[in-house]
Amino acid sequence: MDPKMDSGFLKPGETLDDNYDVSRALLPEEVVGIMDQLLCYEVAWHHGYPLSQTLFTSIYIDRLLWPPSDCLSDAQFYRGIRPMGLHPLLDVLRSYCIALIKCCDLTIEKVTSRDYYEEEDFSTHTYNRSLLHTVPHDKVLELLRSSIEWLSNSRNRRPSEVHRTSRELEEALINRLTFRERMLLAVAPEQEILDLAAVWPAVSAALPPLEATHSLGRPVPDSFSEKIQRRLASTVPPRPTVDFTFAAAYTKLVQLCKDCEDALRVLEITTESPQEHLSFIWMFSSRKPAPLAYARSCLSSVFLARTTEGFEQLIQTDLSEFVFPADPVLDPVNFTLEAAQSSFAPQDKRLAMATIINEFTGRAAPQYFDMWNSLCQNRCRTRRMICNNIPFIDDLQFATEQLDDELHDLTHTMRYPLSTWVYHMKLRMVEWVVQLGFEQEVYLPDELAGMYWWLSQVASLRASVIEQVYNHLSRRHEILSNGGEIEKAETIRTTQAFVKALMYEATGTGALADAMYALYMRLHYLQLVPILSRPYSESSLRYELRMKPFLRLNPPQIPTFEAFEEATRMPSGSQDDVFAKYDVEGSVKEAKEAWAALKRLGARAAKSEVVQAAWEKNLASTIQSCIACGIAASTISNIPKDAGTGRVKEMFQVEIPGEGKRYHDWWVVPKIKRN
Amino acid sequence: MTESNSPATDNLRYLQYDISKEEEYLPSIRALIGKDLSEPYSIYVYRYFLNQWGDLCFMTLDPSSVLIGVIVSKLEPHRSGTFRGYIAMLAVVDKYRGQGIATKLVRMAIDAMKERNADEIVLETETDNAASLKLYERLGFLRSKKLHRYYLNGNTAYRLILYLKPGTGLKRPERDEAGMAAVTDEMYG
Repeated sequence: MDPKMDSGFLKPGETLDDNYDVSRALLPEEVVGIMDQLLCYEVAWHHGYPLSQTLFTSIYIDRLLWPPSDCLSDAQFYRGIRPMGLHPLLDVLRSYCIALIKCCDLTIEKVTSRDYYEEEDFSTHTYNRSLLHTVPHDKVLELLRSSIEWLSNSRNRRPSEVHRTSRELEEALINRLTFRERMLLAVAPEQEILDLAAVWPAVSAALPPLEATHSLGRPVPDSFSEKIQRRLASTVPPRPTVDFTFAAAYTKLVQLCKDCEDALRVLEITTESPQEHLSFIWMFSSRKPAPLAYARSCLSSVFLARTTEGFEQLIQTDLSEFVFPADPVLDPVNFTLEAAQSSFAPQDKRLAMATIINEFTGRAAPQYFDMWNSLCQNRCRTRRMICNNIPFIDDLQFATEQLDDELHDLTHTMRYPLSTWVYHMKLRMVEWVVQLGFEQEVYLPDELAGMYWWLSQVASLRASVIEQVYNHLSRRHEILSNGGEIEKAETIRTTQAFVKALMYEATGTGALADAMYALYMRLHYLQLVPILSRPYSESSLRYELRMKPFLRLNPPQIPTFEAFEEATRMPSGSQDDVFAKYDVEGSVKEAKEAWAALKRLGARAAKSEVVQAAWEKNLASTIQSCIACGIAASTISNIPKDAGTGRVKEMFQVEIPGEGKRYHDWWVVPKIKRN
Repeated sequence: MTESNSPATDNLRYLQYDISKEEEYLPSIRALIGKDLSEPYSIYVYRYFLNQWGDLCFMTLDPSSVLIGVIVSKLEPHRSGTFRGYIAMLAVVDKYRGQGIATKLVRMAIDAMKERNADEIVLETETDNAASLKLYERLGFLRSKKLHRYYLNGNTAYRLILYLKPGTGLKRPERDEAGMAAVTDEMYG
């Protein structure tokens, strides 16, 4: 018998049951030790590991859940009649465990209420055990509170009853129950929480005492057992327990609480502005370390929990923030009109416009939802889901052009406003796919030039789309100002500021991508970037693979392979000519100007006010990347003309920094050192 | 690359697996591959590959016919519409590593799949398995996507892909009875 193959097999003399006596009296320090160990397992579970390898290894938890009990009072460490002389501290531990189980139940409920990926994000498997699902959480709160009260009053009792519990240990136990109480309040269903913004700071505030008193605890390793896995309804063989140290678990827990708190700051966005939300979600998901599934679900269960009509309405708002500010096309009155009874009556243009808009938002809503949904996933999924969504956005754009034509017959707005909005979204998504590719180190060093070249093209294209919108808004602003419609003109002015912010972001991205492309081309010329020989692959096939998510797009049509090859071919000629052709300095200057202009415009104009600090930090990192790109270029600029390839290689050390080692994860600026 | 204390590699034999050799080789294949796994595959996993695609499995034997390296793969129509090769397992005995044996095995598998008209070859490897990434990327594989917590131990993987034919990226899934194409994560990226 191979114990690795059959991890369920018993060694000679070994039994399936554990010999641990759950009714034995516990010292208070042991209760603290058990609670802290449970906390470590809870955090490991939040990190994606199954209950079977974490909390379900606790014999106390096992006894509460199995055999199953119908009501709270039956969930005891014993079944049937309460054994005589059961130590009261066991009741304290029971309260804690019950509340912990209820927290797990509510956590699973929240995570599964939105899209998530089993095991990859989170493990919801309960092995056929109900985590007190039918027990209302306020009953559990009562239980916790009564234990807290009991401990608080312990001074009044005879010493023998509390095992001569020291005041310190009593406090430590109260700390743990208080933390659990607050945690339970925080994971309660949103509709039951009066002040969502307050719940997680309250949990965070309860954490430091846990850390401060952890050393008082005494571990009870015997009260945990891997053997319990063998009795769980599972097709998987028992696997090793996942052990996080208390210090590691504590740090992760602090982070989890902070992430949940910050996720709920989405409620501070008082407008229905999709662009504010977009900025918020990106800033949130870019946090390091990456927010866990539960924290992400705090955000998505607030933002994504809307009906299809809700998303259709959001699209209307999105349109009003881009192509249709203060535009008669979106006048709310239009949507209240009813069709004339007689077919001879002239058609009301306003009604016709509303019909077109409704048709459009109805059509766009599924793709629009998908985009938001993908941004609420883990970063790897986000990239893959956007790849999947892009072709559908492409179809949507094609279908929308006809609606634009119909709209054009009714109103003198810009040409193709709806498909322009779709196109802009699509180009943004293409950029995200490429940039997340840099972030996730999907591209090898010798692919970077080509991928920045493509990014630069897409971003420049997007800038030109934005410019058309901006010009349209300028014209409307002028007309409205001249016509004395000050309020509407002001709305357009605000939108113009936002559109300008988009433009700076697009031009800044395009220019910096161009600078990065040029820098890598210079490095290729100097043979400072390793190139793989790849005997089994052709560059045209690699290009096809790289461009796969975009192959069928129209627009933008991807560059032909010939154009790509021309752009990325190893440069030849004199160094002066090559360096002049690949103008890093010029592009860096342009990029810096654009990003600086965005900075001047500010978070408010960019609809990022709620996440202003993160927005500014992100911008600062991007500007740092521009500077670093310029410095890298200057480091390799003064090479003696007669230096051969060999000498150049000796002169420099080029390091391509990995994720987390860059100023900004989307900008892979090489670190170049002159020896 | 040959280290002074590494065994010589000039008299190694490479050979294709065949189902008639199950008794002779399967136990050592399992032992070799299972050695580095925290949870070994069941025998059915091996048989799934070896019984259907034994010709895409190659073995390296030392002069005394001891198995020191193996690659296990398969090739079948994929729901994305491509004829997709998949490298499922690759292992070389510790002391023989760093001498190009794994590379040679991969090359043999690629050649065999190419011969059988594969459109593409894919595999997954852990993001921090530098040696494996290097091996495949040198041959021409690209990373197509990152798979968060792909493995049971919570580790993240890269999917690596090698296109063998033009037009592979444009292939479409076959439509089902309702005429709807199954849209999956595998289609794009």
